[in-house]
Amino acid sequence: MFKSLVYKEWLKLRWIFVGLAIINCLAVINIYFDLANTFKSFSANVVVGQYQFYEVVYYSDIKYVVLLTGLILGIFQFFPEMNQSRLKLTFHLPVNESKLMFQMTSIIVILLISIFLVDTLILSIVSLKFLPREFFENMLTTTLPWYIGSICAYLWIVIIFIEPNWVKRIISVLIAAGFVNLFYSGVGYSKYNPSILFFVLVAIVCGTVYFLSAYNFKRGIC
Amino acid sequence: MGNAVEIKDLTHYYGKKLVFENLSFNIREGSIFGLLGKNGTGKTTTINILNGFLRPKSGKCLMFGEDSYNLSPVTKSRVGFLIEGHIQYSYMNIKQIEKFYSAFYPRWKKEPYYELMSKLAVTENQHISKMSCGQRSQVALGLILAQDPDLLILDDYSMGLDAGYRRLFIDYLTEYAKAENKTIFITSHIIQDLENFLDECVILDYRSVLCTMPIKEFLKTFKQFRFETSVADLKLGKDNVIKNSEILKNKVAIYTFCEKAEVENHLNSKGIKFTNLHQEPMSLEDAFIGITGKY
Amino acid sequence: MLKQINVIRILMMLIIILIASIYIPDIYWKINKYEVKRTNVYFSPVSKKFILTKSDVRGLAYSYLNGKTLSRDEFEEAIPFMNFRQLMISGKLPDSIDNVQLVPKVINLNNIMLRVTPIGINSRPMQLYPLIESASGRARLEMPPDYFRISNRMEFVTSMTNEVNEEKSRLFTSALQKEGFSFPSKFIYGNPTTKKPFDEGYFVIDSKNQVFHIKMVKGKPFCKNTGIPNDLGIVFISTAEYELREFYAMVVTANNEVYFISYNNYKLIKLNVDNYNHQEDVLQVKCDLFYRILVVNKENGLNAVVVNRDYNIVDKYSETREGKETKSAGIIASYLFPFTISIEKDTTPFINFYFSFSDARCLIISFLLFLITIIYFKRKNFSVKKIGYYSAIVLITGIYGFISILAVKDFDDDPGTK
Repeated sequence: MFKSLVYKEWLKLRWIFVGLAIINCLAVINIYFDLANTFKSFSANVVVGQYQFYEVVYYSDIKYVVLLTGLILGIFQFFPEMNQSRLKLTFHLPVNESKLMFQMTSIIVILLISIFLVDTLILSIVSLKFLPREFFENMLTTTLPWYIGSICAYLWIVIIFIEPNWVKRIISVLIAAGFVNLFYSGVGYSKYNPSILFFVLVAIVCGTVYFLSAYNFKRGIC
Repeated sequence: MGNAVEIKDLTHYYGKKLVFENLSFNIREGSIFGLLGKNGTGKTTTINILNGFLRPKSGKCLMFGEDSYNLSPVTKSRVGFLIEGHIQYSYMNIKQIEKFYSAFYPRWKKEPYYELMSKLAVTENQHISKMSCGQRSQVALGLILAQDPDLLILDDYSMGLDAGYRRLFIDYLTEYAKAENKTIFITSHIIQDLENFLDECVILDYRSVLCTMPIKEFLKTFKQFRFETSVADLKLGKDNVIKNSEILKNKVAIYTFCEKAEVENHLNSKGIKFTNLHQEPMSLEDAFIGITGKY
Repeated sequence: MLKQINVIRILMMLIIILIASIYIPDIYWKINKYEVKRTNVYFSPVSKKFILTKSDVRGLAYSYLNGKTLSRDEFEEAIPFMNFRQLMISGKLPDSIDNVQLVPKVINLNNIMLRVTPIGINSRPMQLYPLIESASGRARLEMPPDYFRISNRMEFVTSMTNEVNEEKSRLFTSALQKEGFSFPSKFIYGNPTTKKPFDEGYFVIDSKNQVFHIKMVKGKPFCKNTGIPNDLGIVFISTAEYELREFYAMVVTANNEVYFISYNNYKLIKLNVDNYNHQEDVLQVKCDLFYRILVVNKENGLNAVVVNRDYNIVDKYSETREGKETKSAGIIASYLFPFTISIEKDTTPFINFYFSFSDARCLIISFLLFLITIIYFKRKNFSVKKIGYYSAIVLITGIYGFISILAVKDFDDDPGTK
């Protein structure tokens, strides 16, 4: 039955997923060319020195591409579900509703992680090619909160779309904005190092809250 | 044979507005049950409560003995649900949607589905979103038949359908109901096709239940009487005899569960002069309009 | 789903409390930003007295400790070393003070300003640095074509090829090993710029907390164990190359001691800073021909110590000023916000959850909201257990918990099981 659910979400999202994967790849390839051109325009040790001294985040372009990826995937997954309450169709399937919600969100989280792994792979190749390995190590820890933030943004889209009550929806939008913003702060490299585990914990808590929206959906407007 | 559905003292409000109060009825297994009423009388509310998408203010709702708010997956697999508007996953085509659903239901039979699809003038790859209202309804119907459920719930199956499709639905459902122990629960505000189809019905009005009884009994006991009167500007309110009335110039029609004699006595007691009091036969649709009113 | 849904409701409330306690105070203080006033401390070699300048948005005011104000001209004459160029133009530079001749070049040589901030101490820059040739024979310093790291050996990575220069790495590694360096390095401190008069390389702390001085002289490694005690608990070394060549760098330790590393065989010169907390205070060391003024700047005041060239204390001054807590906005905040969470702090570059707590005053409002919560849930006929933990949340988290309850609402269970 999970396979069928994967089939359904894939049919719904395959083109948007491919589109987003392509956009991510293009963004990262763009970073490659920007870096390559920087090395062509300036002497290498000047570039390395500037990047080290000023903590230049040469991959900051993907910060918001990554965030949008999570948001867009969430919108395209749940807007059709909520349009004319099609979620009722899904909830009517002979599977426990909590299990359904968990499976549906897990599918997207896996899709997002796969896009982010590709981003990381290409960025790693780019970093290791041009720059000493410290930059590669810092790239990993600098981008990690952005990926987690994108997954949280997706989870908040689920929460917002499923919640039937409009007042609670608006409150959720405000909380979501504040919450996701926490993952995109800091200037320079690896600023989340001392606290990344706490942020992961907070993200996991965020990953349980959509059950409340689903519960409210089942309870209906009263 | 048990009850497929048991509803007792169901009450619901939308905020402060009462939808219905103390609604009670049972749907026996193997019967065809209609929840009838004008738009906005709470039919879809009842369906939502029945399928666990709404928690009522108070009252009990059981489906196959389980609380409808917490249906187990096994019970859900025995229930086929047609959502108002024949809602389905519009981004799938007819082949994909059958493949999707088949994995969830152990008794899935794809033959009735494809038989129905062959009658549709659609290609295999045509997305449901690009189908007409009637074609979509057939897809929804085919999926339900393929599921082979014990209880079919159809919320406003006739929405947006012209006469041909409506008749097609009833034909297929009648055929389906012939198999043992299949229960059908229909809500509708279009009555004309249901006369020879329903076994029992509940008729809802705004904030009240008008009647709960088998169709045959309803048609036998609910009568229309016509008479002429000389009283100018006659106004007849609803009371325990007169359920509804229609007055056009000096011609009056009243609807009642009472016998002719009781009606005569009642009119006399109100001092209303009448002539030519006679009963008019009614179809189910006439009776429905009679009990719910034209407005 | 029922049992767990109550847990999930509480998790949602916790998230709302988190977000509220971050953003509500943030917005509150953005609206109630207080004016920033700065005080600078000077010590006049002429009058042997402290002179303060207080600056705010309106401008600078100069005064003695007793309150007597000075004009700008008077200030410049009282503080001749900092203002010698201006005094030369106006012809007011004295020939000597205290029998010490005032030669402009010498004055300039001795004017040094050092500054250490908590955010600098807490920074963790990439440990990849350029080893500048310190004796090239050229007028200006030049950046090398490579960068070094000290992991299990000292490695030079040529920037253009991004490859390790094996020969150079081996050369420097063996020089370090000879001096008893214990790999890997813990921290490398230096000044990776060519905009300085000369280059003194880097001070490197090895894995045994020994401090080494490393530079490149005519292509060859210069590596010396400074002999600085390895139990000082060094948290920061602020290096700077000054023509004065009195000290290489300033050292800050974990227990808030401050030293200069002198050119005299790396001997440590203790600086008598007063009441310094390196995690919170900004340390300024203003050097001139006669004195070193050690200023510890705190959020609510400052401590200044003046020492002479022998590093003996000459005078001291301290002042406090009101912080934002004592202003009316601060007082209201201490009632309203039982605690505040911020993910940024101005004493560190790192993102984390930084808590600050109010005092007992906040309990007044928290208790009021606690009572309101109890009444609200009692009206809805909730079980004692539920009333208990929802109102406990409000009591502990005050206004944030109350907001979270308003936001989550609809706490009912299945009908009939309240």
